[in-house]
Amino acid sequence: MMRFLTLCFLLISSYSWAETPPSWQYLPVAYEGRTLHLKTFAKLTTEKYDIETRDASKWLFDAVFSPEYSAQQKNILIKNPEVISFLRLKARPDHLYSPKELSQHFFNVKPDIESIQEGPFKQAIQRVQMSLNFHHDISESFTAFFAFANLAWVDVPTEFHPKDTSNPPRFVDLLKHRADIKQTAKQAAITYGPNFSKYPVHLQKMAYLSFIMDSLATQGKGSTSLRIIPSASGQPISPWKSILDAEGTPQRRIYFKNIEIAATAHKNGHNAALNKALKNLTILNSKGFSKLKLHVESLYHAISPLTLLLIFSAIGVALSSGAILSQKTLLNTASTITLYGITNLLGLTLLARMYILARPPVGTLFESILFVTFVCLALTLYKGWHKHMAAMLTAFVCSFGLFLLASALAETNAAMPLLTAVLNTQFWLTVHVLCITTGYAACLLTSLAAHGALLTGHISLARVRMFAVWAVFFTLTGTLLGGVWADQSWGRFWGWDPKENGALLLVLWLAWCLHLPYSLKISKTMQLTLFAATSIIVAISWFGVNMLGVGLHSYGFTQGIALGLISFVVLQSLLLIYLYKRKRFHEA
Amino acid sequence: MKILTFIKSPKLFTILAPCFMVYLVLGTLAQKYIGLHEATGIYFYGWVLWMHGIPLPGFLSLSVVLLINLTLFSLTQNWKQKTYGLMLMHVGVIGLMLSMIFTPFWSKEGYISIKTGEQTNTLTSYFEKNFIVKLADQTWSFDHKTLSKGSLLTDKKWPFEIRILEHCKNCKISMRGESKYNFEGMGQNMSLSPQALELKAEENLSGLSFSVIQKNQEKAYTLIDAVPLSIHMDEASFQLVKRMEALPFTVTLNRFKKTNYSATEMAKAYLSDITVKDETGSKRAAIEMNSPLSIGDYTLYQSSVIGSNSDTPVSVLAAVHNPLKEAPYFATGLIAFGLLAHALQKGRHKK
Repeated sequence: MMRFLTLCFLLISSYSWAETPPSWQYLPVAYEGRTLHLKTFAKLTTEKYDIETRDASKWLFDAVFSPEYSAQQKNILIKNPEVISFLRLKARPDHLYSPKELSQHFFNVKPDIESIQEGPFKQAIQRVQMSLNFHHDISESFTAFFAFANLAWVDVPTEFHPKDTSNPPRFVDLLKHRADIKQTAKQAAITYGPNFSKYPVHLQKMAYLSFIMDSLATQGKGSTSLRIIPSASGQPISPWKSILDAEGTPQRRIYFKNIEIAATAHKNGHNAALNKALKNLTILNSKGFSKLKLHVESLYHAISPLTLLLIFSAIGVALSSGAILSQKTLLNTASTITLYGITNLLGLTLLARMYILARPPVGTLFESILFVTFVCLALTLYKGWHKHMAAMLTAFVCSFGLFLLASALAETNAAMPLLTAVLNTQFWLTVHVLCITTGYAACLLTSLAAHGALLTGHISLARVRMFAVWAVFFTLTGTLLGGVWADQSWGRFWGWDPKENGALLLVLWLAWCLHLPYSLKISKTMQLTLFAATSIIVAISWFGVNMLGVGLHSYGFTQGIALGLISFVVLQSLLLIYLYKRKRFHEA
Repeated sequence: MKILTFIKSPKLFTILAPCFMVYLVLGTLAQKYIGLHEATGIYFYGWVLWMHGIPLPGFLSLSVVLLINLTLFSLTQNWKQKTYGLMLMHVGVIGLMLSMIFTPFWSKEGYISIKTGEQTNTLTSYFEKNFIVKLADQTWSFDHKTLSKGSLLTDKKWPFEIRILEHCKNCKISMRGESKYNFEGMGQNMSLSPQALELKAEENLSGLSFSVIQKNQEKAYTLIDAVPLSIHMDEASFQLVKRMEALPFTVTLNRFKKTNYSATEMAKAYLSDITVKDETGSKRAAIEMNSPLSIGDYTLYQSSVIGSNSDTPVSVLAAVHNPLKEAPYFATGLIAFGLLAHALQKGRHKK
């Protein structure tokens, strides 16, 4: 029995070490203006740099502690056949290539890369280069703490020997003598010329030592991503940055000591010592920020809420369609539960983003889509419109479409980009952007209510007009507040920028629709159709103007959704023509 | 009487609104091809819009008609308790339109660039360029955009005449072949011809070539704004520069601070610590993004920075002179309040 238990224990422990040490995953790392758990950092960066791996933390662990092994692993995803052909790579079914082979191929085609014209192909090449650079960056992180590949203590002048020479020499062992070594090597070059063989043996050792230290430092200079050591200014920096810039606090030595222990323990297979050293680093790094925030962000990325929301809204579409067709109460109840689930999950997602980013969740186009969807869904539930199955189906279809659009706009599902300095204002983000995005939601609800009125006749024109009045209130107030913000930051209230024009277009459209019955004899059906067409104006105002790529609102520029937008405008127009004719036919 | 009824009726608005929407769409799309500055001038700040040679009422003309419509409507309506929100909103829109129509004529904008530790009182225009002629102690300034090929510039005090030979808002430079004019300086080799405007107006390379005719002698020169050289001919000198004017105060940059997001090189905030000195005295103030400084009718904004990582960065402050700057704020308040009152009142009425 004991043998069995021991075997089980060994199996479990060996399994856990086949993954990564537990402390590794929770090591705090600075990334894009905030601090993350290393496992979150690994997940975000591997997604960003097209590195395919089942366990991002393990990939990062291997890249840091076993750079040579990691360089041979086929992890970099290249799907573009033109890029594969250009790099003279063999096409593979899994499209995966190792950093080592890519480095070689990039070296071979280096002259050709410079002659490529700017465009999508060059961007695709650059994307692969970025993946490769990231691997190099990460795999150099701890090289200052690894033993030199071709150097023993006998090759190092004795005056630089530390007390303990049981381990092979490393860059950090010789760090404090680097200036002397360089100076002596420089002097030797002046005295004896560039030929090493003419140097006395002692100086040969110095020159060689200086050369390999400089080579390693040159490579280490590019290692900036793994920011785990605090600098004198308080900004976390990478180990190499800390070494080369001599920028560090007295605590730097403690960090270095623990990294040394971790590197040695890993090499010698001392898992407990490795885990302990990493744990010490985690404890040292866990000061000055909220641990809860780290856990919330880890959870956020682990569950990928946008993917869940997409799945749930697709299920909602199926359930509510089934409920309408079969008239079964069970399906109806399941749809209602799903709608509540989506709304709550979306609300929690927005709250999590607010907490993590410490700002209102409307700083980017991606976030504004989530916020508008939430307002629409919350109002649907609050007003009880979901009790009409058609309204429920509409809510699911719209939310699915908006989530799909959001996922197309985000580079990764969880994009949390930093805001430019001009946007970095809590007050205006809250006042202007919340107001205008609520206006977009009110416009969509106006349009949806008008669709419902045309389709079923259960919603009155007066109610649709009421929605439109609120939509005008939020969009006009939001637009004017945007003018006040522009006046505060750019020095003009109104500059005819595409984004501003888009908002004005929406306001004018709604004002026109509201004024029409006071000046023209216009049928109720036509009024409803025009209100329903508000969705088209919203799409143009919200997304269309961003595609022009001009103006001061550069942070909202978008590409790659033109086809989607045109399809929406065409389909929506056709639907409105159909609904108008259908309604007129019924009235007749 | 019928006309008056029509002018003050919502019917006129329902006719004008689609026109505004069309102009908005055209003006916005045009920005993609001719840039914001040009498109704004053509579509939004023109009294007449020329479409393929056909004159149409410009945005400003339509705005004046709408302004009359709204004013008459507001004056002739009964201000009942039931509709006061709506009426306030209309009055707010009138205020907003008035400021929109008059601001371009009464305001001016430019930038001030100051190196840390230095001071300046010069406001430089973003787009406007002047052709400067200096003779003895006197200076004549000609707006570059009002000049054209063939223009003849004269003055009683000048012993010469100037004829514009080449003129372009955005010039294409090419090798000059044989010319009937006697070019000197860089004009000997450089010929200027107009090309499509840049999307950012400040990136346009403006230039002109001109000949100076004096006592049957004619010499020709070329100037481009990117090379602010001064051409000297006897006692006269010629220059093409961005329009500059003196501010009624002096600004000294004491310190510039850029704050980055943690562990990145991305700017989170900029701050210019300045001292403003005018006739009344001097005061120290800080200008940050979204936090400008008002000095009389002038407002200074943090616009950008050159060499933020150097020891002496150059802070670029946008400066706007606008006597009507408060008007949109009052109008916004009136519109928001009026709309809210109307929406609440309508909601209560429905219940």
